[in-house]
Amino acid sequence: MLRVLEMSDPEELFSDIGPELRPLEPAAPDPGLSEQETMRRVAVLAGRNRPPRLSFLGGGAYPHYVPAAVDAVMSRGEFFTSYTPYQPEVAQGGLQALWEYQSMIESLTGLPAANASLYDGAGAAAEAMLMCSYGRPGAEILVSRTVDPRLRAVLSTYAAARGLALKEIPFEDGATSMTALAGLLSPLSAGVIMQSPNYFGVVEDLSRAAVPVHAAGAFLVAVCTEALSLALLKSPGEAGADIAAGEGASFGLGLSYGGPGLGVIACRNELVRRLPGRIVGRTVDMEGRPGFVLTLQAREQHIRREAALSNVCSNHSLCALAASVYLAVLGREGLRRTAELNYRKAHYALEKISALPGAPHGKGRKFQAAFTRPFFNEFAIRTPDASRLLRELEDGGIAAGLPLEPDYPELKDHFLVAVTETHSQGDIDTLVDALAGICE
Amino acid sequence: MKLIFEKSRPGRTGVLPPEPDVPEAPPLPAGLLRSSLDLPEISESEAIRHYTALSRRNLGVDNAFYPLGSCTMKYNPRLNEVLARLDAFRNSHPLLPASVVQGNLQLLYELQRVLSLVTGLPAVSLAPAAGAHGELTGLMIAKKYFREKGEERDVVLTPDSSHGTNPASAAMCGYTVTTIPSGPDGRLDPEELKRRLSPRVACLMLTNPNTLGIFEKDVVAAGGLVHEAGGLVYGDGANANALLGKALFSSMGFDLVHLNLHKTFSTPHGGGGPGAGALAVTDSLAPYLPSPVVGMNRNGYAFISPEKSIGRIRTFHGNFGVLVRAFAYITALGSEGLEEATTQAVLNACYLRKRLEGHYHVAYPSPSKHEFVLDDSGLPHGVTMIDVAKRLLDYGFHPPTVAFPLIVHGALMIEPTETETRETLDEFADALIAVRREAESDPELVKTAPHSTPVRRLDEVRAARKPDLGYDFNAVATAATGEKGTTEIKLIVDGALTGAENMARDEALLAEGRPVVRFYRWSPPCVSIGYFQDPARDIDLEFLKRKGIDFVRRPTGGRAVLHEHELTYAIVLPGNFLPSGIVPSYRKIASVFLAALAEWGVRGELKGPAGRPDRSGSCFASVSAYEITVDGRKIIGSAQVRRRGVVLQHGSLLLAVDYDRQAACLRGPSACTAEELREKMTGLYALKGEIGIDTLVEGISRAFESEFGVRLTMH
Repeated sequence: MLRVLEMSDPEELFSDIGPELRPLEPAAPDPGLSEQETMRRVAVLAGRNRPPRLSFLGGGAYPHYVPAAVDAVMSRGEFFTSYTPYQPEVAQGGLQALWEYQSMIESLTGLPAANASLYDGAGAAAEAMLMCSYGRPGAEILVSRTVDPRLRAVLSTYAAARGLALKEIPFEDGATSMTALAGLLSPLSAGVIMQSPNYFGVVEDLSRAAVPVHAAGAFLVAVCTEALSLALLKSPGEAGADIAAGEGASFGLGLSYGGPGLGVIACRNELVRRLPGRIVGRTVDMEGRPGFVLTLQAREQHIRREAALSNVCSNHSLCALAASVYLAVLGREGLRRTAELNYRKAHYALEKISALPGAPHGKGRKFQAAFTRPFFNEFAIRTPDASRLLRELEDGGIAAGLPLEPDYPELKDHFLVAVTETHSQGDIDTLVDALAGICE
Repeated sequence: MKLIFEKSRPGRTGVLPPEPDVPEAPPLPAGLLRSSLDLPEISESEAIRHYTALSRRNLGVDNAFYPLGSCTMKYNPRLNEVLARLDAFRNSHPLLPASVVQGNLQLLYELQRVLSLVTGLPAVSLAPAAGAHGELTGLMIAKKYFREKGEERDVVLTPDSSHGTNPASAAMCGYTVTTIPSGPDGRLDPEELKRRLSPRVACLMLTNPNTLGIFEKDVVAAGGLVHEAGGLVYGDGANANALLGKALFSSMGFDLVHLNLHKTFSTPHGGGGPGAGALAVTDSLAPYLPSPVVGMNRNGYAFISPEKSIGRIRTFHGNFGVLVRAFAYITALGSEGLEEATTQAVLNACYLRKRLEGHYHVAYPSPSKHEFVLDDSGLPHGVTMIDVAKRLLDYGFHPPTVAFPLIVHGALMIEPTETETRETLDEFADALIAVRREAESDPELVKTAPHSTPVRRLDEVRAARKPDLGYDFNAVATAATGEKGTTEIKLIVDGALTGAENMARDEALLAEGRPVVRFYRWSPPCVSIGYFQDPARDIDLEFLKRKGIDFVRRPTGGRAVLHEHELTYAIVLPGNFLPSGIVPSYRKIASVFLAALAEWGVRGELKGPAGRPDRSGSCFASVSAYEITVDGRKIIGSAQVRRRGVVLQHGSLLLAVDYDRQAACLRGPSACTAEELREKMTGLYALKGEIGIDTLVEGISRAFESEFGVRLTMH
């Protein structure tokens, strides 16, 4: 090939790069490795993890069983080695799968227009916030304090860059205070962001919130980080939300140390032209056969450049594919039953834990449900010196929950416990016994 | 291909969870519960078959050469897939204490260090999910950096050849964007830059090599100018595959740069993502990196929050699964391997360019790095670069990027990457050269390509005008209740039946009263007469008998018609689907056929020939104001009946007309000559040549859906 180019040394290909730009150090610290050695080197790192034998951590990432079919489909090179379907004629498979994914998200959220994915729950919530504030400079966004603290942190990063004012709605008994919401709403309010189930696992009454929010001329954004709950709970659309945004990783992605996740977003038809990212539409080809294309591209960066409403280019298509396979193989019945299992097991766990007797003479540890509200698969427990308790259990290989104090100083001695279908009754009893052991 | 929802059957299940092993819990309050859940109901085997079939309608790097410019579609080693799925990685919860995830943290820490080496910039964040996300993060850093310095800088500069994400990210971050026109050699012109610099400029965003695949020779000088003006230089590292081991971003004067790990470091593109857009910055910007980054403390590796951090940009720490793959790739290649990859990528691009010079016009003559851009100058017979790209599909290649960068007219941006062999490059060059010859010799072939794909060119205008973004599970319910939403209407496509059978079916549909669109044909040929006509007076029954032509009375009004070479429809609609009044309702349905005809390139009109209405008994010889003609000759005849508020409209789309036979069927006051009919009726085939019945049905159905805002579902 060099000969065709009339060159003798491949270095000639780089003659326009001056010597002052050349690296002094090699591009990587080590020489290359064979496949076998690479396998070993990375597996050694993996082996340095010391995962707990039992974990009840949730807080926005929930352990769920992933059916084998999901990986089987995701592993098909036709899907995972393709790129954004710019040439729809040879991307009908991926496009149809994404359109079906949009359909399933629309069904679950009760909203008619979903996109083909965003990066993660926080990214989706941030984009939803920007959708609300579009065309309203100086607008305020109200965010409930029960929204996942990491999501709230991302919202404030985006808001700071965009010059949006965020105001926090306080909570009462683990749920957004409706009185405070009414007091904070003003003609400046462009959007109200609530999460259900919220960070404490409590199911929020979105329908009740929707009325004053709409009366104030704002949009209601319903955030969800445990997508499985949608199988049981009133959909955001039914509850009156204008935009649903959240994390879809519960649908077949696995935990993967928090990423890649699946940013889910859907909205009312009136807002579809503000929806960020790729959207797949159904149309026909020149022979009238049905087919799928990326559509409403006039919203997007590659056409609109600085006039685009969002900069999203790459999304999380493969994760959306995983979610649609997950939802298809579980199906209506499987998803409902899985959600019910989560609900039932979490309630069993709370009942057992709160029934633990304190030690005699009032010196022992008592466990109390922190809130009285309805919850899905996660709940908050109050017990004296929670952080020390969690550390001690950790040493015994049980990740019993997440302390709330770092994010909610007002909730000292509270911790969150998430229970899913992956926990057997025996697992839950082991947790309860471990907590009881420390009581003694 | 059928939708997964169309394969769904009530009660069918796939993978079910275990039976409950704990007692039932008190239910949630009814007001918090959803009323229904619509998801597919199919078996696992059907689901697998569905997705396997879909995969066969999708093209990836595994299937074919995929020289998509600016996307670096290189081979994705399988080992990386295995490693990302190791249990210890995959099952780790993101909020586990650092002490039990030292393996994860070490991997992230080492990857930060390698990317720092690659860029020459000391501090790295692995949080951004994609290139555009890295840009946004970088610009947020610039914003906070200047705010803390007390400087008001609200302008971002970017060349007109930049990726669309650059200006979009800047706008999303609240900046005003100023575009710099590229110089005549396709490079950034320092003079043009100088003219736009001011104390308001926060950042120059520059891609190097730029999107034309040309190395920005003046990058250092340009950076110097920006720095002198107090601004920062942002590097879009999308094209870093041209630079590994050859040039350092730090030496080029960049203060911030993102790397697309899914491009340069071979993590798969996943049909559009997930990728990862790691961001590297100088020491002075390091304190602003998003939280958290991985550092070390006395207990080992740990997440730390940089001192002046812009805050969090992800729910958790980044696309860990993608980062594992990139780490494995870099580990396997090592320093020499990475440099070799770059050399080979540039060699492949330059070789391919050499092979194509003389057949296509290279947009800019400057030497290429990892990609190059052709333009459409010299393409003959109005063939466009998009046509060329579509034709490549027929040759089994994924086309290069088209219509980008925007500064090149008819751009074709080719990036072969290093993982392709010379044989593949040659085959691709041969194909492009062959297409060029076809453009000369058979331009229609190229303009109407692709011909061999599962679908052909798709109607993007229609997709955008009437967005159809998902399946309507409630179609049947909404049809019944008349609620808002896309209504589903039954579509029946029958073959050729006898006249009696056809009319019996339509009568039954009318009696049922549900909305339906039915297409059918006739065998044997059949004359139908209107409900109020007298067969003995209007029809030559003798002639019919002699020719074996059937005879039937329609439930609808109108006049006699011989059904032979035509596509017949019956549309049954409850009155609320149609405007009130007979003529408006005809016109509404006519709009469907006008739209369908237009799709086939036939300009139909809704008015009859000039002069008095014809009193002939032949349906086609008379034209009402609501019927469809082409050049004054009727092509679709129609007739209606209404019962209990339900409308049945019959109509015939004439395909070919035997004027003599048509004339011979009529008699009495209805009679007219073949010559008269020739003036008054025409067939679609005479205008457009033969079109398959399926295509006709499909076209009319789509037009119906679009005109009525409903969805037709085949039964």
